Formats: sequence, structure tokens, C-alpha cells
Amino acid sequence: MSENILEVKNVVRAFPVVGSEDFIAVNDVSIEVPKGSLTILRGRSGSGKTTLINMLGALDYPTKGEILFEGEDITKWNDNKREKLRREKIGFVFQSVSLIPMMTALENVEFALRMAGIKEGRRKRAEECLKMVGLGGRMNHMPQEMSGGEQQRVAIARAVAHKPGIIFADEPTAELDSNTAISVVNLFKDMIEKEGVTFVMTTHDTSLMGAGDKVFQLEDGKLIN
Amino acid sequence: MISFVLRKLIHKKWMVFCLLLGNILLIAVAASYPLYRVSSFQRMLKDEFRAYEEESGNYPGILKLSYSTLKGGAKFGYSNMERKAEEAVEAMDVSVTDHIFLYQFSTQKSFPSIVRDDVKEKRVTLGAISDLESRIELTDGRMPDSQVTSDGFIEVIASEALMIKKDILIGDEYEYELSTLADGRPMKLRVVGIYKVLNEDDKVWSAVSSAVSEDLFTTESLYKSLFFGEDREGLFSMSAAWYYIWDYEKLDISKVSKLVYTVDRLRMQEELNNRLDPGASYDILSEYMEKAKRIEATLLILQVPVLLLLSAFLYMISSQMLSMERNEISLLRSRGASKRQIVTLYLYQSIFMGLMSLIPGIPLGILFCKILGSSTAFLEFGAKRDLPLKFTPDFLFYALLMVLLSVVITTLPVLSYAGVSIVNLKQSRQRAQKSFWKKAYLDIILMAIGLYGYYSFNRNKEAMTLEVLKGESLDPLLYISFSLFILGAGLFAARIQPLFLKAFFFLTEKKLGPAAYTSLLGTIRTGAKQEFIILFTILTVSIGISDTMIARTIVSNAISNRKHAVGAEVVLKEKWTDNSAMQQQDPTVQFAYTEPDFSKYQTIKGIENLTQVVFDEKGKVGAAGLENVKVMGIKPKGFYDVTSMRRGLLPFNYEDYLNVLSKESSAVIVSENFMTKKGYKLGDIISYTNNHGDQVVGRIYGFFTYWPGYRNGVYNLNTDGTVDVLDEYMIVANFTYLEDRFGPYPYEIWMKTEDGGDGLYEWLSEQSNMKLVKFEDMTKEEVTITEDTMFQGTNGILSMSFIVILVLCAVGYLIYWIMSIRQRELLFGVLRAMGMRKGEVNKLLIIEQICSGVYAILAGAGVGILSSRMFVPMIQQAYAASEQVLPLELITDTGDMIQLFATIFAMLMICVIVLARIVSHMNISSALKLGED
Repeated sequence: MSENILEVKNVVRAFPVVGSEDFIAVNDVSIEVPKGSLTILRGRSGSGKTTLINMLGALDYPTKGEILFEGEDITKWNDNKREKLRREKIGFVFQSVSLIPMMTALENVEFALRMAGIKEGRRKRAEECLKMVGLGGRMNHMPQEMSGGEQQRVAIARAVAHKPGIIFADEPTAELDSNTAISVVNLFKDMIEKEGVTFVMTTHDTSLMGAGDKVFQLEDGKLIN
Repeated sequence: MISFVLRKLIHKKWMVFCLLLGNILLIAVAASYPLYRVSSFQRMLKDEFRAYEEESGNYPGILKLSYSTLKGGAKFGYSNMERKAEEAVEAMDVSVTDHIFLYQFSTQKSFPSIVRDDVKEKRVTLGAISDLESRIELTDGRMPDSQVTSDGFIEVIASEALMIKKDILIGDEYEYELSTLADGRPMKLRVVGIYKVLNEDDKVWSAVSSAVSEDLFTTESLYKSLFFGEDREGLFSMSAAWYYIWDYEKLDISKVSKLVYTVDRLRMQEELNNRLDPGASYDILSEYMEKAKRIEATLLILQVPVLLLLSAFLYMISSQMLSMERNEISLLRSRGASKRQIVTLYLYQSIFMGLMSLIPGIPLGILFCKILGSSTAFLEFGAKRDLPLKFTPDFLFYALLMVLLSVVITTLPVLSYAGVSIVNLKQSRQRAQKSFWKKAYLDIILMAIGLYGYYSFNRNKEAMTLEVLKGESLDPLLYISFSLFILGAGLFAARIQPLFLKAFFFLTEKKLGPAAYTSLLGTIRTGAKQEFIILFTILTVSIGISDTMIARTIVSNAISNRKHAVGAEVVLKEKWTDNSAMQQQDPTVQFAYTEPDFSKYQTIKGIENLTQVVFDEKGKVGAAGLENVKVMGIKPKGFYDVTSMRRGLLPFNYEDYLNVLSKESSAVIVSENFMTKKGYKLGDIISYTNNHGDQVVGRIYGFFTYWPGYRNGVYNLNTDGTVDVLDEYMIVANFTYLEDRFGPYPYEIWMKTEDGGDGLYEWLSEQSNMKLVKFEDMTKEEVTITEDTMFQGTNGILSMSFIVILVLCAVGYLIYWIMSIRQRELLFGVLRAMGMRKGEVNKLLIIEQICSGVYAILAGAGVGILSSRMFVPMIQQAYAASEQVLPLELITDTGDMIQLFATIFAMLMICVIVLARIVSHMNISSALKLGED
């Protein structure tokens, strides 16, 4: 836990507002994410945590500041390079259904491997990941045929399948009941152990905070401690 | 409620635009039909009358009631008949412009009081016409008195023509040999004036022209007072005729059938039977009615596919729109709105949109009608004649009917949605259900019906030809079979599309990149959603193809058959003088023609080639007992230069046939039926004669089925409605050889013109003393054919359908895909978040287009070409069954195909570009947010 996979330095994200001053969604935030940790960004809705995590995941550019991924400033990269990064080194778990609806659970997981350019052993790895999240028996089900928790677990399996360095999860438990939510967070910890990945998740749920190795509190775009 | 609907519509402006477009086109297409029908039929009716008048020189709009009585007959009642005539013309409800009554006393021998040139008796006719004074002009003398003169004469006047013809002068007096006046006085006429008719072009003269050149006219009042009246009518043999001139140009087509019916009814009356004569108009009208019936049925049926496609388009768009509103509907439902309220809401919306569409739809319909009226060929609109538009309530009726149809189509899908609450909705978002038509094997059934129709019609081709010849319209079932076959084949192609994809997917799955994998898998898994757009595209392409094939084939076929029957571009025959007059006086003189100056033909400007052709239609072949054999004498080189034969019609080269004739002077080539029906063989000697009995002997060097100017059979419609096929026999010999045997013999001039040959008409107008007995100009005929209502309507409707189809296809396709992208924004967001490049996403879209769009286009082309090949030959029968000489050649116009495919290709490109733009502007994070509903 010595090395930081991600270092965020004085990141600002402002959105232009017509006829008014810019809206500052993320204001001068600096955080460090150690490798192999579960980092939690906590805040109420509108606190800027989703904006922040989108920037961390190379889905969005900050207005100001640096984001160092494995020591390199990804904010300076072009789209192509960032897309490659997302394909190979980053995994995502979204709040709502983010599975591809016309693919089965297995195909969804396999798809991430296909995206990452992995040619051999895709099926085996996909099955392995689904078994890891406890869905070994529902591999050929369509997303619509699964509950929210199950879908989210498929999404997690998909996120870890291609062995990314880091996985971003934006409110992964928001639509789940508290028991399921806890089991999802436990799954994250499990994955850190088994796969050696790093998890960054946002949540508004205070009950989950204890699970995090590191917890950052956001309020009105600012970090508070 | 209304404001809710309005807000909803503004929100979905693109969908609304599509719905409006569909509605507007539907209204315009449907409304243009009655407008065109009425307008073109009116023009056709006028044309038929005019053509008759031009050809015969007689005015066809004359109703005649004639009545005659014999001396000693008990019946009388001229005044009664006069009233009857008036009643009849009133019942016919025509626009009477003039009338003339003619009374004639029987023609009798009479004695002139002054004998000239030793002529002691003359046959004269006493007559009278109504309004004599105002219609004529005296050239000499004075008008007759309205009373018998004190010395017992009836004063009369004679026309200049009569004056010359019968040598009648002013002051001549004639006494009837046999008749006396009612009071017993002798009947004596005295010529007091010579007249000429005031306005020779006046229609009345064509009614009474013979009377003008034969009769001595007294005044109407004197005639009536001398001969009419109960106590007098039985005493004389005389006749009267009442003519009513009516303006055929003012005859409304809606009154035609009533008019014909009225005439039939009037003629059933005993008093009018054999006395009422509607003239040529009756035949013209009956013929028009039959023609109209046939054309109407044909044009109506031709419209059906495009109307169906428009309905399908509306259905597709409204279902698409509804599926976007499913959430709202189910929400409304959950909040307690009744199914009925929701349906009412959508009903309001549909009615509102339908009525809105009327505003642009009606003028567009008028425009469409003008386009129809100006069409000359498929997708060509350059008719020289404007079609005068004629509005009838039908026009509005059709427009409103289409509004109603649109309301039904767009509200119908609501019924299934309206019952769904949010709970049902969530439950139903499962795997795609198999479509109804797939489960019912509707595609196979429809194709089977279409095929059955095809085979049964194909078997009864002969019978169908006869039906058409009898004036029946082509069986609508044929068109229905055609449409069902296209629909069935289209559905079938849509059914097998996933199989192709699955096979391809199965074979390549391992190697597929993420884009190809996603699009293929997506197309396979969500196939049912795309079925409709695939089907729609297949139908568009196949109907488009068959439209161009029908239109091109029928017109080109009609023209090439006509050309073949005429033989060359221009054919003319001058009237030759002969010595028959001399022969009558001196029977020992040999009959001979005098050949007119041939060199004058070579001065015509704009003629590329011309040749002399003997074409005797009344030759004979003695041994075979054949009369009216066509004997043709040609100069092989010249003939070759002005005629053309399609490849494949003759077993050997056309040139070879002509070479034989030029090498061997007595060689003849004869129609094939000489061999098949009369047993002639190659090398046989055949002796034949011309119209005058001059005999020639030739040796058969070849047989042909097709030859310029020759048709192997002629259909003859008998009065009892049966049709005979009469074989035609023809012998083609060398011109010089025939000339050698016949002496100078009337020949035709066959010409090939250089682009139109306008010089010909100039030249013709300069030939003042040349009389033509035959003149055919194919360039003029081509125009006539293309302007014929049947052909023009067909071309126009098919062109219009084609354009509408292209618009629909482009808009429908684009909107479908835009909507489908909008619905899949979340998916694209996820893909992009997972690191898929924009280029990859575009690739995904292109592969999707290939899977559905390109497949549908290829399948549509296949279905279109196949079904046209099967059915067009039969549909063509409706147009020129009796004219059909050549084997039918299906025309596929490359230009049309390029147009069709270029448009579709452009549409696909635009579609991909628009979709790619949408995708590239899609913000990944907001796309992901969209999913959080």
C-alpha cells in the first residue's frame, strides 16, 4: 500500500452557466489513491462526487489541475490515449443498469475482455469472474432477467475481468437495499484481495464508510475532513 | 387536454414532422387521383369527339329525330313529333347551341314551264328549314313570300350549288306531276332567289347539307300552313327532321352514362324507335365509357401499393412515437387515467394532425395532379398540353377519407398500449417476442397465394387477352396476386435475414472486434424491432423497381409494337392516277398506273433515308386458296436503311434475309404460317397475284415470324362479343422484280428521319396537288401514345408513387435510426465509457446499416426484379393486348435503377453521417445519466 495509483492535484471543474458565473462543481480537490485500496468519496447528491469520479476515470477533463495515473498526467492526453487507458487499465461500475441489454451476463463480461483486446481464454476468464461474484449459475441470463443486485454484480465481474489497475464505481449501491449494498462492498474488498485491484467508489450512504481504506468527504465541490 | 397534446407534439417535433409528412403525402396522393381521373377523362372525352370530327369531317354532337308520313296514311302528328324532339333533347340534358328543323316534301317529277336545253322534266324537292332568313344570304333575287301567290305559286329559293347542279334560274317555274295542294289546286313552285349559306362552318349545315344542295326552300310558315295540320297530313308523302346541335366540349363526364342511358330509354319508346338518332355521339360515348371503365380500374389499382406503403409508414412512425411515450402512458394509467381517456387523448392528437395536414395536402394534391397531367414517360414531365383541372366533390371526399384513414392508423396502436400500466410495462421488457406473422407463416401463405395467382393467370393468358379485347378491364386479382407476392416475398426476406446473420455470427464470432460483435449480436437479438424497417425498405425498393419496370415496359412495348406494325418512322403513300377512265371507254386499253414524280421525295429536308416499298394488302395465293395476302416489294438495301429488327426475332440475321432477296430476283421470303398452316417448304415455288390479278411466281428462300409492317395475327371482335384470331399471310419479294412484272405499281415511301424530321411537314404543305392515301408518322404517334390517358395516367401515377416512395424511404429510414440511437444512448454511453473509440462506434453503426439496410435493399431488389419478371408481362396485357405483335421485352431502365439506388445509397450515407454526428456529440457522462430513470 505504499504506491499511489492515482494522485489528484488541485483539480477544478467548472461548468459554464448562461448569463451567470460559472458553476464550480469540483473546487480545488487534491486526493491520493493508494494501490490496492478501497477509496470512498462520500457526499450528498450535488456535492460533486460524480463529477470528480468521471474526471478520475478519464471520462471528463478538469478545468484546472492535474490527475496523475501511475505517475502520468492523463489530463494532457488525447482522446485516443485516454480511450486506450479506459479499455485496458480502468473498469467502471455505474449506479444504474450499465450492462449491455442484448448480451447475457457471460457475454457482457466477455465483452469487456474483447474490448481490452484480449484474444485468448476470454470465456474461461469471464466464467471465472462471474463465479467470483457468485453468479456462476446465472451466466446465460439476460440482464432484464436479473435483480438489481445481481446486475450490479455482473457489472463488477465485467469491471474486473480484463484485470484493470483501478475500478471506479459511481454510487454502485444506490439502487440496492442495505444488505445487498453491504454484500457489494464486501465483494469489492474480496476483489482487492483476490485480484489486487484498486477500487474508488462514491456513495452518499454513511453506513458504508467504515468499509473504506480511505474516505474523502465532499461538500459543495470542496474536500472537507 | 388540447394544450397537453400540443406541448407533447412540440416536444417531439421530428416525429410530428414525419407524421405530418406521411399524412400530407397520403392526402395528396389520394386526392390527386380523382382530380386527375376527372380532368383527364374530361379531356379524353373531348379528344374522342374531336378525333371523330377531324377524321370524318362531321360534327358528332347532333341529335336527330326524323319522321315521315306517306300519302294515305292515317297517322299524323308533326307537331307532336316536334314536341317529342324537344322533350328528348331536354331529357338528354346536353348543352344545346343551335337547332334546325328540316321539312321535305317528297321528291317528284315536275314540269318546268320554261324548257331549256330540251329538258322537259326535272325531279325537284320542296323543302323548308327553320330560321331560313337569318342563316342565308341572297346572292340574287329576293326571299320567298310566306303565302301562296295570287297566281297559285309557292315561291322558293335555290342554293348556288343547286342552281349549278340542276340548272335552276330565277323565274323558273315547276309544276308537280302528281301532287296537288290540299284544296286541289296544282302544286306549282316559282324560283325567286338564289342564296348561299351565311356561315359555312356553322354546325347546322353538316346536318342539312344534302337538303341545301338538293331542295328548293320555301318559308317554314308557308310550308307548315300548306301541309301540316290534322286535316292535311294524311294527304301527302313527306318527311321532317329536327336537329339539335349540342356542344360536346361542354358535356360533363359525370353526365355521360346518364346521357347514354337516356338515349337508350328514349329509343325504347315506340314513337321514337328508329326515329331518334343520336348520331356518332352515341358510339363515341359508349366507347368512351368502356375505355374509361378500364382505365379507371387500372389507375386505381396502380395507386394501391403507394397508399399501402404510406399507411405502413404512418403506422411505423406512430408506433415508434408511442413506444417512446410508453412510460408516459403507463404513468397516466397508473395515476388512474382510464384506457378510454388515453385513447381519446391520442384520438384528439390524430384528428388534429390529420386536419392540419389537409392544409398543405390539398394544394400538394393539385400539384401532383398537374404533374400527372404533364407526364410523358416514367419520371419525365414535359407534356406539351396542359391538363385543365376539373374539381369535383370527389376530390374533397378522398382527402377527408384519407384523414379518417390516417386517424385510424395512428390511433390503432394506442389501443394496445393504453391498457398497460407501469407494472405491466416493466414486466414486458423481456426478450423480443416472435412476431405474429412469423408464427402464422403469413409470408409463406402470401407468397403461395401470389404464386397461385401467377400460375392460374399464366395458364389462362389467352382467355385474358380475349377479355381485354372485349373491353373488360384486367382482373384486379392479378394485381392483388402481384402485390401479395411482393408482400409475401418481402416478409420472407425479412424472416430469413436473422438466419444469415446468425450463420455469419456463428462462423466469425471469435474473430469479431467489439464493434462488429456488438452490432451483429444486437441485430440478431433485437431483430423483431428492426423487422418493420427492413420490411419497409424491402417493399420500398421492390415496389420502386416494379414501378419503373411496369411503366417503362408498357410504353416502350406499345411504341415498339406500333413502330413494328407501321414498319418505318414515316410511311406515306400518294394517290396514283390510272387510266381506268380511258379503259371504260375503250376496253382494249391495258390498265396502267401513272407513276408520280419520285424525285420530289428526295428534296425533303431532314430525311436520312427513304425507300420505295410496294405494299399490296389484297394479293392472292391461288394454290393455297388464300385471299388478301400481303405482298410486299422491297429494295433490300434501302429497306435495310429505314427499318430495324430487334435481335433474336428472326432465326438468322436480318441482313441475310435481305441479301437473299437482292441476290436472286425471283426469291421471296414468306411468313411462317405458310409453312406451319399451308405446308410450304423452303425452295417451293409460290405463285401469287397483286390486287389487279397480275401473277408472279417466286421461290421461297426463307420464312419469318416477324417482319417490319407485318403482324402474324389480327384479333377480330365479333358483334356477339366473341373474338377471332385471323392469320395474316405475307410474301416479301424484290421491288424491281415486282415492278418488272406489274409495271408501275403504287408504292409507299418508307422514311427514316433525322431527329424528328420537321422538314417533312414543311415539304408536305408545299405539295399542293399531292393526295395522300396513307400517312403514318411514328414521332407524332409516340407523342399520341404517351399522351393517351391510359399511358399517361400509368406513367404519372407510377412516377408519383416512385417519388413518394423515395421520400418515404429516406425519411422513414432516417427517422427510424435516429430514434433507435436516441433509445440506445445509454448503451453508447456504456460502450464509450468502457473505452470504445468514436471510430469504433461509427463502425458499429455502419455494420448495423449493412445488416439491416443493405440487406433490405438487396433483398428488395431481388424481390422487385423477380416479381416484375413474373407479373409485368401479364399486367402489360391490359394496355396493348391487341397491338401485341412482338414478343414482350421487359425494360429495366438503367437510369431509373441508378436513380433509385443512388437515392437509397445517399440516404444510407446521410443516415450514417447523422448518426455518427449524434454519437460524437453525445456526452458520455450525460448519456450514462440518462439511464438513471
